[in-house]
Amino acid sequence: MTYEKDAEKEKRFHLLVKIISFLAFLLIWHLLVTGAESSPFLMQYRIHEIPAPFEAVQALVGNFLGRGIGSTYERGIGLNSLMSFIRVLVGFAIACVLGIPIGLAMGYLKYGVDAGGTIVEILRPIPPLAWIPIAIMIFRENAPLFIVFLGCFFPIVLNTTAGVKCVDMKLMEAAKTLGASSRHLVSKVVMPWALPSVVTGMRIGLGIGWMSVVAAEMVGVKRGLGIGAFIWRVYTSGNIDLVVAGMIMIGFIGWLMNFSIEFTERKLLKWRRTIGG
Amino acid sequence: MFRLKNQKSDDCKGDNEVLLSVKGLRKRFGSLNVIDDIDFDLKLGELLCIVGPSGCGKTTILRAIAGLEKPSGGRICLEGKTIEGPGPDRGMVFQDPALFPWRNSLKNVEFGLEIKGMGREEKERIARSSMDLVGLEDFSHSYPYQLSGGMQQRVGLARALANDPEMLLMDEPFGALDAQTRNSMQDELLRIWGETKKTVMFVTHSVDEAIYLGDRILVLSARPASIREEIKVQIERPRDRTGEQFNDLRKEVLGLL
Ligand SMILES: Nc1ncnc2c1ncn2[C@@H]1O[C@H](COP(=O)(O)OP(=O)(O)OP(=O)(O)O)[C@@H](O)[C@H]1O
Ligand SMILES: [Mg+2]
Repeated sequence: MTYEKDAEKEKRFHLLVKIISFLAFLLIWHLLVTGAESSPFLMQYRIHEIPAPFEAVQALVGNFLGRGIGSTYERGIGLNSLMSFIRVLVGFAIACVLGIPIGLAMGYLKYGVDAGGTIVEILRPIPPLAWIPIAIMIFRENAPLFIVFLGCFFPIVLNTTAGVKCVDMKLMEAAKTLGASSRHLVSKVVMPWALPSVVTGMRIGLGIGWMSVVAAEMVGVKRGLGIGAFIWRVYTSGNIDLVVAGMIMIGFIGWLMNFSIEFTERKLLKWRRTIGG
Repeated sequence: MFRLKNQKSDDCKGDNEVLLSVKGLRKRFGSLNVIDDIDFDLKLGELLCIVGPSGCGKTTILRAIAGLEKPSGGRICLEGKTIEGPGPDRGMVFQDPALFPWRNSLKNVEFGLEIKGMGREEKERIARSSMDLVGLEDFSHSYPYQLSGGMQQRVGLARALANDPEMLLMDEPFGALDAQTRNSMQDELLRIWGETKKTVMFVTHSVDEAIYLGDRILVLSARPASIREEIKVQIERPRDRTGEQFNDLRKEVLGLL
């Protein structure tokens, strides 16, 4: 807790620390790869071939719309990322539509966990990437979509269930004395109570989904669009600048997605007091 | 006295002044015998206080009436009908106010009306008048965490009142408040009770509170709870907490506990 007049100052400090640490990160990166050119030790690991931050961003911007660079990459980082982004959104949406009701049912119904728990606990430790062969076999070009779905699905189910399980029985009873039927209990007590947990599941799921799409595309999408496929193609043709540019794009989109979920979360969950305000 | 017509069960017959009747109520939790054969009636518009030692089963009695706890024996009848579960005809005010943290005060108060499927305007009108009644009209948009303990209790009371229940069940609602706030909440309760003419069953472990509020006091024994004494409070309201009659009654009740 801080007093009013310190709050403004503290806010500026938060921003300052963020900027400084980010600049420091870029500086270390820059020094490492430029310094590598005069270090035989680092050169032996080809560190000097990694672009400095500025070069990577330059490659990113230059290739974004796919102009000006050799014919293999004519479709650019922008379009390739967009394709991956769409895959993630679709897979994520399907995972939400299926995962949230399943999680609710597992948490709320008396025999819910008995029915679903074991299956989920056995399927969950299988990394989404281990599904790639099967996914390619069944879904062919759409394999990455399925992989994303899997990555999103389990965190959403588990967090929804956990959120429902910890519902405050006092609130359930209060609702009952106010006339709530079990339909009302679910929609007006259980769901709002579990919402923070569901959103956490969605955030974790989206993160895993975004990570798995890249890997799935590297293997599953040879010539089509997709940032994973793009990175693999530019790597095999030896363009490390574009590999790193693609990685930056992945990081940036992931950050953006997380940011938008956090933003929605804050809007949605105003009523919660949290540590650090 | 005439008998009510159309009764489901003979055991639930009563006269028309009796709103609630508890007959031979027993409750065990496993091997723990908590309530041992309790009988009492609650008249329409009455304010009944229940006092008893901590852990004797006061909350359990109230929860049984609310329909949140199934009796192990005996029966509870409201207006001649056996209680079979919770319902909006019995409003409960909990010791910990149990407000919905994601709803602001007004939305908390609207909860029961929402469930009845009431239209938006009517819902808001009733909820607002209920907030007025407890003196919180300026805090409609505050979330529970933005309210003091006493204010939260008042929202809890407004929420129960908005539903227009047959009776109010109050479980040590002012137990966690400081002495001054507690006294003023007691006065507010009496004012609201006077205005709404609700039947109230009020559980407390404070003898003073019981004497100050109640038309009647049930003094319970230690667990397993049974009724040790039933006392009619015949002091004129507003009651003087330091008056002679008050002191005599306090002595009497304390002697029973
Ligand atoms: N769900 C339960 N399971 C087992 N025992 C219970 C349960 N609820 C209450 N009890 C027991 O019943 C007894 C009476 O509890 P109750 O809450 O009714 O007491 P009380 O009179 O309200 O006490 P206090 O004044 O401290 O609130 C206690 O010994 C308690 O341990
Ligand atoms: Mg109690």
